[in-house]
Amino acid sequence: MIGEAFKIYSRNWFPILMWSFIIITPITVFSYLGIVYVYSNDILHNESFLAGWLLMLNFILCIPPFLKMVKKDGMDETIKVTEGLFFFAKRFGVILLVATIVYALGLMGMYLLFIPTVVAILFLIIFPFFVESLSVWETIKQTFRKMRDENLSIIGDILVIAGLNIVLWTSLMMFLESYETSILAFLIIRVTLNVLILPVLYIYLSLRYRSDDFALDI
Amino acid sequence: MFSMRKLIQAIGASILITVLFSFIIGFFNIPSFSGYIVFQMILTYGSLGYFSVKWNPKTPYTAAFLGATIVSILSILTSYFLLNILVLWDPAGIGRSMTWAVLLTLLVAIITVYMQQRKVGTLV
Repeated sequence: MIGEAFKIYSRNWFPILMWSFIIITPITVFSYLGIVYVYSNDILHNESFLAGWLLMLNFILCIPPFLKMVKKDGMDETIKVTEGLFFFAKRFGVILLVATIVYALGLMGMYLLFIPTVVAILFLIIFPFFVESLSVWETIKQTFRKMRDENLSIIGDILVIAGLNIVLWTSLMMFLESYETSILAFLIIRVTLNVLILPVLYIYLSLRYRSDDFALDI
Repeated sequence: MFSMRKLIQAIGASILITVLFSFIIGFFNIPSFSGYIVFQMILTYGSLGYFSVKWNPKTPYTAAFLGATIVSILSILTSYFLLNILVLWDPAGIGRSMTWAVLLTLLVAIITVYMQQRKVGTLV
């Protein structure tokens, strides 16, 4: 599955490059500066929840063009750059609203032994890979069906994502050890990291969750 | 037929346009702050009215009204909980801002419907 992901990556390198500059970089900049603002503000007293919300949005907002690219690649077609951009703009609202509502529900569910929180995290990881259907209700129903089918192995995916981020972030921090650090340096490293690993992760996860719908032989 | 997905799509597109253009305007030093806010408001709710007519052609005014209400409530909640502006202590201000939002969105929706009918040639 990982080999197939790298094949798709190398077949569609130009749209991925353009989307990295147009979509992933601005979203990472906004999310990182938002986290800096939230932590430097003295008045707020729920900084960690807001920072987690911004990190989560940073991961799941850029998914739709890559999902469409994998779908088109399964049908032996190539995707244009503008097509993915319009698809991103059309699916921006539903991902933002549903993710915010589910994140708030997960936060409130922390008093019930963290069970709704775990369900909300699983939902947030899977849900953006089903947004291309035509109704919101259909998306939520398919997501719950997928969650029921492979319940615990999704946690393995979350561990893979978090482990990759932590390993690369730590190794990139080694460069900055002997220099004088500022927000700009952290920002540039954050953007570089996201541009490096997020497309591969998106392609891998869409293959993993949607391969039976996309008619791919894996 | 009213479509919820298209309504959410219009809301998301208008938020995206607002973020994009506000970022670009931030590079120019605009001396008047209220002018900046009025421009942002026209951008948000104007694009919301246009997109609700474009993506919900059967029920444009319902989509415009619901979208304007949802976006104004979202902006109020964001400014209260995220930016710590105490807007919920001023009910008259909330009523004023929501009235302006709904009026502006419906106005742009009416103008867009009028332009569409004029282009097709079925204006009675």
